Order: sequence, then structure tokens, then C-alpha cells
Amino acid sequence: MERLTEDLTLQAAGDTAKQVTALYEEYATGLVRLAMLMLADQQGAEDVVQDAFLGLYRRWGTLADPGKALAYVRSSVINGCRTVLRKRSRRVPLTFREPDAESAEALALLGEEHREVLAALRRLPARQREAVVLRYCLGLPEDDVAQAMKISRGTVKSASSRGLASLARILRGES
Amino acid sequence: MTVEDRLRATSEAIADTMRPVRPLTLPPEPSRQLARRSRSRRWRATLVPLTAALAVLAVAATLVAGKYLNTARPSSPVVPPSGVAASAATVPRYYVELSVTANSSGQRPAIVGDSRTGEELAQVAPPAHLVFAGVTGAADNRTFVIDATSTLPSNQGTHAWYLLRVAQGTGHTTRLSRLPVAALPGTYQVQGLALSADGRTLAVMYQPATTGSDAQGPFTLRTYSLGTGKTLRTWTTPDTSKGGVTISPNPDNLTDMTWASDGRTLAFVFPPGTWPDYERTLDIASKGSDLLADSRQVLAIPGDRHNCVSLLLAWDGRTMVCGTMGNATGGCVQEEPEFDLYSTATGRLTRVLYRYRGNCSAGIAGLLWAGSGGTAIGLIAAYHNTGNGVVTDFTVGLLTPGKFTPLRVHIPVGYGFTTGTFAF
Repeated sequence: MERLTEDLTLQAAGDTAKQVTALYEEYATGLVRLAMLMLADQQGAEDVVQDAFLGLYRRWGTLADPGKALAYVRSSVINGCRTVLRKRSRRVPLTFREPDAESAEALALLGEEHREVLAALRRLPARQREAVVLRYCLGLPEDDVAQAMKISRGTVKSASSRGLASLARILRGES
Repeated sequence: MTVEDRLRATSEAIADTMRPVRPLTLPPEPSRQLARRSRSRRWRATLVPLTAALAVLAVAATLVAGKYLNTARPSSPVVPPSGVAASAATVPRYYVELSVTANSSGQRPAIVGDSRTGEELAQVAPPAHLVFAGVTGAADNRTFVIDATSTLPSNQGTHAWYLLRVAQGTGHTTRLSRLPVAALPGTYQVQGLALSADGRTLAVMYQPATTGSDAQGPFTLRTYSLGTGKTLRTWTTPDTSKGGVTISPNPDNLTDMTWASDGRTLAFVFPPGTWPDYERTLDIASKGSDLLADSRQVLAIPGDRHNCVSLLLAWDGRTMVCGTMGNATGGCVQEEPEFDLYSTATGRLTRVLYRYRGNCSAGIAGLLWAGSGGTAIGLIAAYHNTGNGVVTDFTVGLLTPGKFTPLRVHIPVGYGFTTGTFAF
């Protein structure tokens, strides 16, 4: 019986790694894109996504519904981005961050019109930025956005519509 | 093209220009530990048929070991050497720095250093399946408490409390031992950590960590007796989770929680992680259990220019030291990072302790320790834009009014200006 328990334990740990890795392979690219829209930095975006999946791996056994793993990870990515942005603004002067060379190159490849959109997004208040990115850049339904941001559906509606209006004003002013 | 169209187009363009995402790196299988535990249970099962007397002896031995080996109870109160609390010019000798990078063994040790010589005296490895998350020190400068969190999936993030002692004598022997303070579940994020000057009381402020990567909801402040491990007092805030207040994870002591040397005044920044800064003090001897209603706001930083990267209550309890950021377009010449002294009685700026006037593109004044009478240990990070990137110079020094005397304290690359990762 002990032996069986041991084997099951080992098997369960192996299964968790497989399941989390499979989820990562399926969704990592989309989640990194989400984080990049927030951070404009692929290295940082990948770090945030890796951390989110690591958190999922560690908490797999406590998830009430593994079917909600994607929602959990998406929420963790949003939180991870908030942390990075808060640390950037609080701890390191904005103008003296060192962008990684590849991110700088990727941004250059994006083209002026898209860089303008990213810059405009960065000027939005955090909640509006998150709502706009999740709702309009990734095309998520309002319920999923609410779940990821841990706010009500009504707040998603108001934050995204205000964000969109502000974005339009900023972009009009720049063009 | 509508704004929605532009957003979608940018999102797609990002997807097109992204380099391939790197594979997921998971930690080594945790199962071996679980398997070892199972084997240990099986081994213990074979002892069951032994005589009752042997069982009693085994239990007794376990209790004794638990009392004297696995847990640490300071045999006597840690009394600050006479004059330490009052002496303005005393420089604490030992510091403990929680390493932000892994060593060759893959561990992130606690480094014990000597601020007089710059020498690294010891590297203390975390116990198995734990990582160090926060450190705080007593006034004797040899007693430190460390928050160590579990990496095991079964109790991920659980906070256990350890005592780190630097022994008297020239050997600088260090000893890490488990404290009898109850573990805090991993579902909580520690936001404040402070050991009283006499080393008898540990104050911990924490919040529920709802997903493991964020924290929101009511704050709880608890004080524990280090000798017995018992909870002494508890304060809480109203539940803020519904108000949308979310505090991101950071190393312990984002609130810059500090004790005055009187052993009854605790100070902390609240709410943490946001600007502007508001400092509150709490008299732990007074009645009440509402963290906000029963504490007093003693400082509201007047504006962006003077926001504090770190804000510590001085030991005398009468002043607070704040380290600011110099972040103007014109660099340090236009807006220097500085250390400011505020009065807890009036909340007013009483003097600028020291203003960095070196040449830099931007700079940060952080604090590592605050003594009395405007004495503190500060850190100046000067950023230089070289054209090929940014170079950072860290200088740690003893602050006395108008002076900044460099100390030989090593600051690791990646230091995040959080007082919980560095203690004197």
C-alpha cells in the first residue's frame, strides 16, 4: 500500500508537469503578447508568463477546477505586469531603464503606427489600459476580462469605454 | 480606421514580430521529498510494536529535541549594549543581506557582512525547500529574524520564522535556528517585518495573497513573543478587497515597518506600494485592534518631489528619515536625490540630512537603517547614461546631519530598495 501511494505521488507530480507544460505550449504565445502590450518588452513579458505558469504548477493541487487554469494564469499575468510596471515607476527612473536589445529591435520592426498605439496605451490609467488590452487587443468577452482583472462586468464596461475614448483623444493629438 | 481596428492591428503586428517564446522551465520534481516522507512514515510504523516504555522515551526525546534543538528561544532578552539606542554615531557592524541571485549551489543565501571591513563573514544557506524572503534585526546587531518561505507544492509559500545569531567573539560564528512562532500560511503575503530593539518581539504585517501572485484584502498586524512564539496582539484593517485595492507582491517589508527603541511604537507606511507616502505610528500598548483607527498618521508627504523610496522611523521615535528619488529631465544636477528628516510631532520637514550633488543622469536615495538624531545608513544609487547603456553606482554610507561617510557594504546587482532584504 505504501509503495502504491509513493508511486501515485510520483505519477501525480509528473502528470502536473505534463499538464502545465501542455497548457504553456498552447497559450504562452498569446499570454506573452498580452504582457508585451502592457510592458512593451518581450524579455519582461516572457518572465511574467513563466512566473505565472510556475505559480500554476505549484498550486495545481489546490485548484478547485483545473478547467479554470487558463483564467488563473491570465489573472496572474495581469498581476505580474502590474508588479513590473509598479516597480519600474517606483524603483527605477523611467528614462533610465535598459530595454533589452531584442525588444528594442522588435519595437522598431513594429512600425511607427503601432508604436504610437503602444505609447498611447502606456499613457492610460492602469485599469483602463488592462481593460482595453484584454477586451479589444485580445478580443476577450467581458466576463473573461472581469475574471482576469477581478472586477465586476460593469466596471469592465466603463473602464474599457473610457479607455477607448482616452486612447482616441491621445491618438488624435499625436497624429 | 477606428481605434478598435488600430488596437487589433497592433496586437497582430506584435504577434508577427515576436521572437519564439522560450520553453517553460519548471523546478525539479518535488516528488522525491514526498516519497522520502512516505518512507519515513513506513519506518516509523515498524516501531509501533516496541514496548510502551520505549515509545514514551521516544516521545520525550522528540519533545526535548523540539524544545532545544529545532526551535530557538533566546535564553535571555537581547539587551542593546548601553548607549546603542542613544548614541548618534554608532555604526552597526554586522549586516545581513538576502542574496537576490543564486550561488553555484543554486541557493540564494543570507550573506553576513562586516560594514567596517567590507568582508563577507558568512553565507547562510536556507534550510531545504525554503527560500529567504525577508530579514530584520535587533538593536544588538547580532540578532536577526528571517522569514523563510516553502517551495514545496504541498505548502507553497508558507512562512516559517528563523533566528540568525552572530556569536560574540572574533570568529563571527553564525547560527540559524527555527523559532517557535507559528508558521503563516502561504496564502498570505508579508508586507511588514520588524524585530523590536530588544529582540523580544517580532511584528509581522500581512495580507491574503489571493492567487499567489497578488495580495488584496484586509491587512493584519501581529506581534509575537520570540521567547514563547505566542501571539501577543493582533490588529486588522477593514476588508479593502471589494474596493479594488490591490497590492503587488514584493519582498517583505514594503511598508518599511520599524520599531522605536521604546519597544512600544511601531511605524509603517500605509497603504504600501503607492505614492504619495503616508506614515502611521501605532502604540502597541494602547487598547484597540483596528490598525487604522487605533494608529495615528504622522506624515503625509507633500508632493511628488519629496516622495520617499524608503521611509524609516528613527529609534528615538521623534523623527523619520526619508530617501527620495532624483528623476528630473535635467538629471541629478537639477533634482538631487536626498535624505530628509521629518518630525513625528508635526509631520514637517525639519532638515535635509544630505543632498547628493554628484554628477548623474538620475539617482535614488534609499535607506537601510535608521538610528537616532538624524543618524542613518543610506544608499545612493547614481545612474549614468553612457550612450551604450546605463551604468549604476551604488554607495552605502553613514548619514549624519550634513555628512555622508561611505561604508564598505556590498550592494548586490538587482537590489530593489526594499528594506526587508537588508538588515543591520
